[in-house]
Amino acid sequence: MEKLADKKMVFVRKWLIGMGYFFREYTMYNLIFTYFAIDIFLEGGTASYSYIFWLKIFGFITTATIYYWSRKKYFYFFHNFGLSIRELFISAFLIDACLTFLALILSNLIYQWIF
Amino acid sequence: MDFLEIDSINLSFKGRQVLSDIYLRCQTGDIVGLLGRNGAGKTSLMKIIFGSLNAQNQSVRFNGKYTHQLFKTLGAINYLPQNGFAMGYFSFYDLIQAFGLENRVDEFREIEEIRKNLNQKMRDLSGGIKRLMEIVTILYTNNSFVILDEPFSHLSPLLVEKLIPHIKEQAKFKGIILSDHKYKTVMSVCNKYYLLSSGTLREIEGEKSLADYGYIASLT
Repeated sequence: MEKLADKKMVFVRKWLIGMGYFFREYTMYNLIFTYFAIDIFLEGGTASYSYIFWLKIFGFITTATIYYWSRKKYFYFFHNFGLSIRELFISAFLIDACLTFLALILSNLIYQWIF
Repeated sequence: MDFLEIDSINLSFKGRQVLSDIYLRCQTGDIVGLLGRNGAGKTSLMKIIFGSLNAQNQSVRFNGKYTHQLFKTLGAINYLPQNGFAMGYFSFYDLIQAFGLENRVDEFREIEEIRKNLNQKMRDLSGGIKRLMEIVTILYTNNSFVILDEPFSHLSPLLVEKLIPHIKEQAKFKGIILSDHKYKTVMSVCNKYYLLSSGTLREIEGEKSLADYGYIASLT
């Protein structure tokens, strides 16, 4: 039982470290699209949700393609943490979606507070 | 004792059969050497074992259990690719920390080239030192098997000499599969050698077999 718990801890640790490095690298490419998403949201409010959605999809596919082709050899770093390419991109997409959502809420609050 | 069995590996690229019905077994304590000419399929075979490349047909079993992507099995395998894997912004210390090896830093400090460059970024290091650091990291990571693709390339003879005892030491606790063109070094490190030629894998006995199969021109 203790061994299983240890294994789970190792798995979680590896996943967090691997994803942490991947997201740190990936976000650098993806930040520009998040910035434009915030800009569109502040201009158009809730009516701009569909634009933001498609912008983020476009941004994700673009950055994922650039990352995949330009940093292909580094995927072995993540494989050594037990992470496949599919897991990396799906997890990065979900984390990015959550962060964008939080960024939109936060920037809206700041915008309302200032103006 | 852990064991790794690979069989029925068939791989073809654009109609050319690269690997044909390959069988390989490795267990704790083994240092398996893969030899073969350029393009013989050594790297492809290692990637298939690791799980980052899919063959048309493959069976990879870890302790008897079939697995499609072995790298996803916790504690099973680590792989050193031919062209490196560590990002330039890592220092050696960052790298061993990421792999949970920071408690072994004193052991690693015994290697002079590591001690002198412990906190240098990988992008600022020479290719040989960077390679050495990557090999040491992968070698010592807590897994049952390690695959090293051309570990001795880029390393000076002195570094190769320093590295060999570490490979032998780690082989007490894990199985190691390595491939390199420096066949004499491979034969001095490994306890099993295979030659990959014309898509098939043959266990070889000594240098004479290498000459017989046309891997080397003649014995010198």
